[in-house]
Amino acid sequence: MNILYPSTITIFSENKPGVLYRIANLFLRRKINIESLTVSEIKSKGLSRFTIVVKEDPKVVEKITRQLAKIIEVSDVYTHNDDSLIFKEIALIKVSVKDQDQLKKIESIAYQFQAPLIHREDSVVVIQKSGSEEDINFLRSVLEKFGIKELVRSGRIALEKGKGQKPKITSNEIKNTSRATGSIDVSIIKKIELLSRSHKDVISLAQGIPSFFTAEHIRQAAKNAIDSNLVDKYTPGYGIPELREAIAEKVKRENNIHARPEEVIVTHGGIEALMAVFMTLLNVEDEIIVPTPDYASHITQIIISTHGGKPIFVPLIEQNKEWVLDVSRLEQAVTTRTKAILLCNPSNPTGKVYSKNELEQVAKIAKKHNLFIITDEMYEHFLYDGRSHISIGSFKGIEDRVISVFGVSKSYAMTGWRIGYIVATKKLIDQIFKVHDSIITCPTAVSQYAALAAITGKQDIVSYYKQSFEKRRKIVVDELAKTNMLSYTMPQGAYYCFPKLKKSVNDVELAIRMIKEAKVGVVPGSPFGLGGENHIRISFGCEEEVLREGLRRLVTYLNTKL
Amino acid sequence: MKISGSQALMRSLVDQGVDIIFGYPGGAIMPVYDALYDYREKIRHILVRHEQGAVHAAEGYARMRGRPGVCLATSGPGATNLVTGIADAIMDSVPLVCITGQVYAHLVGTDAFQEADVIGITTPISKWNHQITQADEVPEVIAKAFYIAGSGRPGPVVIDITKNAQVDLFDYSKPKKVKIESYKIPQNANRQQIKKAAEILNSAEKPMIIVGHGVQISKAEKEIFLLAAKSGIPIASTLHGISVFPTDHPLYVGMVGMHGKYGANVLTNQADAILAVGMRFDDRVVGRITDYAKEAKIIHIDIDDAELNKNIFVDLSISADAKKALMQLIPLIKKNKHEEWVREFRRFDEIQYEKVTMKELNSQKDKIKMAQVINMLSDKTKGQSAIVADVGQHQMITANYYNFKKPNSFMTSGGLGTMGFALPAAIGAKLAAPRREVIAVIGDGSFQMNIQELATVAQEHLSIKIIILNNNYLGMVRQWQQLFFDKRYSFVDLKNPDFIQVAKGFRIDGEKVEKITGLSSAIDRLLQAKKSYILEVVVEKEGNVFPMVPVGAACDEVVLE
Repeated sequence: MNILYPSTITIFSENKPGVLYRIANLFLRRKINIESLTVSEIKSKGLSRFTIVVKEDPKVVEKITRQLAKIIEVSDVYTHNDDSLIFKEIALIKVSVKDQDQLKKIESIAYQFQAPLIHREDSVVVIQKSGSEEDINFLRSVLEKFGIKELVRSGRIALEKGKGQKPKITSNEIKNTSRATGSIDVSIIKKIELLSRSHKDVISLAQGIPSFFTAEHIRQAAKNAIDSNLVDKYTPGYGIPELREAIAEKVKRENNIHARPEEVIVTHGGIEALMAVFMTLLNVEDEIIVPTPDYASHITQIIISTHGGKPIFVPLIEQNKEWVLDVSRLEQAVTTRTKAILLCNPSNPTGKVYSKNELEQVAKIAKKHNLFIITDEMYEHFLYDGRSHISIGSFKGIEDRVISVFGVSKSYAMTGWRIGYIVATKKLIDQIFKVHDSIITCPTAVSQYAALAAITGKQDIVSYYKQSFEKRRKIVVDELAKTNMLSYTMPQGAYYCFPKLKKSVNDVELAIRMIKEAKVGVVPGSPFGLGGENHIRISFGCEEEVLREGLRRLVTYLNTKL
Repeated sequence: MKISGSQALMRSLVDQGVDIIFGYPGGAIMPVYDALYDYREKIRHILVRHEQGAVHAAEGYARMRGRPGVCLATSGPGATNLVTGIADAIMDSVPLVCITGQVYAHLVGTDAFQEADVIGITTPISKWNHQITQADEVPEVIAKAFYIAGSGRPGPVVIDITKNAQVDLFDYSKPKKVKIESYKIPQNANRQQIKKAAEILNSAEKPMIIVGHGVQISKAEKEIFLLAAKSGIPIASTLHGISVFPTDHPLYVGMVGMHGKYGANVLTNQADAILAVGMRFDDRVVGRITDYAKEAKIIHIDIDDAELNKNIFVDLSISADAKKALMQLIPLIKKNKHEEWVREFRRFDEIQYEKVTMKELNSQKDKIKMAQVINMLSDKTKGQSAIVADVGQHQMITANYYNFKKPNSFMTSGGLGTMGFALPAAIGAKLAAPRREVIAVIGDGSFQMNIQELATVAQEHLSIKIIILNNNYLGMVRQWQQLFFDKRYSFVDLKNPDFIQVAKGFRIDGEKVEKITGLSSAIDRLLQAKKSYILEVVVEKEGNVFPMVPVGAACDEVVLE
């Protein structure tokens, strides 16, 4: 049997008694089941808009569309498939709550699904979820284990994309992109950055770019490579052998990971590395656990890789001036569908550095439940107060399940060169390479020679950068002390501070307002996932003077306008 | 000045040009009848004997006059008795305004005496319906009802008026011109499509035109004539398209469909282009859909958008009024002749004549065959009469053997196939065209389905000629039982009353003829009668209608015997 896809029929009619009967009658006569139906009056008074979803042969749908148009009260009928529509429905789900622990779990699920709790009593809560039918089904399946008392759905409402309802014939229209990409917004960080740029004189503390120029010896190496005709052709997809060897050396030396050069892929920055890893590991139905707040791009990458699936968030606990991993909650989040745990260490945006104990716990859970661990260790060189970086890939007994991702962007002030790398066992590398090869063929040749110079060259620049950031961190702390509106956890690594607003505000709106009114750009916390709400991220990658002025504006704004 | 809803209804009907109403009074419509009493000079009321008679009579009137027929009935059973006729009208695109009384608005939904959910019942079978619950709605709703019924693809409209709305008084004012934003009627055809259609027809070597009821409704008979003359393309017709084109025209090739002409059916599947105008590719026309007109590029012109690509997928579907589209098309058509192609139809005609017609027209012994009656009738009336056929074998024989030469001369229940249609429809047709000879051809089974309307005929002093083709069987069902059910004649045998005695009881003259020798003079007496006259012809008991495209066969798989 053919799979029947939903067709959405939009009917505009006079708002009069009996029209629904006439419409329903046509469906009855042709034995077409109505999957959902919504009706309401529309902007122009006296007109109703029906949205009817059916799963039928498109030819049958076209016929009934013409029949519907024949009803005297009906003025226009349009039929669409899902690609050309924006559609939503609302569900109210009443769930049993036994105790506080369950409530916490439900709250966290609801948050992950962006579904507000709109009512709570002793034994039940009501969750409101708006989204596609699939979104709602997904949430329902997740909530089922708590006991769903009642569920009511509104039925689909839909708008056509573009200017509005157009003639029915849609065959020449360009097809839509995937549902996953359709559901993703351009990263809030990028949006804020764009907005900052579009407003004059705005100081951006938004994007995480080190203020430094790439060191001279690295640039020279790149120039030499160009002049020696080394960069004109594709390099091996894995990266040039010298660089892979250097990386193997480096991870042995600095990360205590004993990898052979064949166990390294040089990538187009950390972002390509992670995308390739996610696409290699994840099926549509797979889950991946992400402690949050976490770098927003990880989240969108996972959504794309799973074709619209969602990462499972486990919020870090912000207590005693520290972000702490809730190990038991992490383990509770594991289901039969869980494939991996993602660790961003040091963490963007919280500045958290995972303790050895925490990493050991993660390793234990991964081993116990047979999970992969994916790391993002972009900020490995920027740890403060004498801390040193521990790579989970160095732990014994889990070598075959850890995929470590590093890069030169932050460590060597090379964000524009786009070089990162993946370290994993040969078995995994072989699989990841297939995706990597499909996306980029090979990393940029000239950048590989630059990266080679960076990794094999003198390392004092790295400590210089680190010291600079540590000084800047002090500036942040000093400036933030001038306001009571924020509380913050001291960043232990990376170059972000992630303070919490003491008042409950919409952080996204606040960030936008600050750009316009205070001329300072920061990233709102919500996009970083559960626990990020009501926070803002301040990057201290920029120069001291700029940083100071930006913070001054921020503090003044918060003190006077909030 | 304040007037009642019923008085407003009368004014509205007069404004719409209504001169005849077919109806039957009852409790919930009495205020309307009371108002009608004052209007009896302007509106003639025909008191039928059953509401089904009223609705078919209104159909006959509407089809003959080309404007909505009006019928009036009371609530409950009065209204439900209209249902068959309303369904018949929607199938055959007949404009009707059916006005039904309803219980008081405050009683609606309480199962009050003689209450029925008329709106609910008639929604699937009406073009539009509406319940008036307040008197002041009357003028606008009635104007709207006539507009909807008569425009676009015509159809029945049901207006249910609660008793309080009939009696309440309000300030009457003439309604404004009806304008319904949501109701769009196709007019001219898209020019590019017409150009394309002309290209297809001009370049075709074996083109064919099939005309349907829509041609008659849009009064495009002349345009079809011109198109045929210019293009040289043979013209076939559907059952309802009969009489659109003169049967003696050299380009007329006959009816298509289950009992259509041999050549028209077979050659449909050899044609390389088909222009279908105002018809809907009914299953009785196309036969097995997957094998229908495979060789042809099909152009379909219809005013009802929902008919386009409904039953068969066509190459070019044109949503337009038939007359307007044809007027656009004709100038683009090249003068042409398709003599060899037309000769092919004639070759099939010869075969049909030899295998079917000749036998049908030459009786064995003394028995009369249906075809002989109709053929003789056709000759004697010179193909000029208005023929109303009922449903069954006699209907198909009439369609095949009466040589229509005048437009708008054939009327029958095609889509719904309603037995009992012809007698009341003939009443309506005669009232609509008093000067035309209206002849009802009815089977013995059908005749008894609305036989009570003979009383109406007598009471109204109508001159209707009725031919009963009596084989003492439900002939068409019997034919199928013979051909497809192993000759197991299950409940088709009719022990009929003495129809002439019955007619006499209704004070209508008539005679019965059983032998071929008496037929000619009997038909003469029928035609010469000043008043209504019934001629009962006892015909061959087990005669069959051929040619036939059996159910499930392709239209070129014609059975001749």
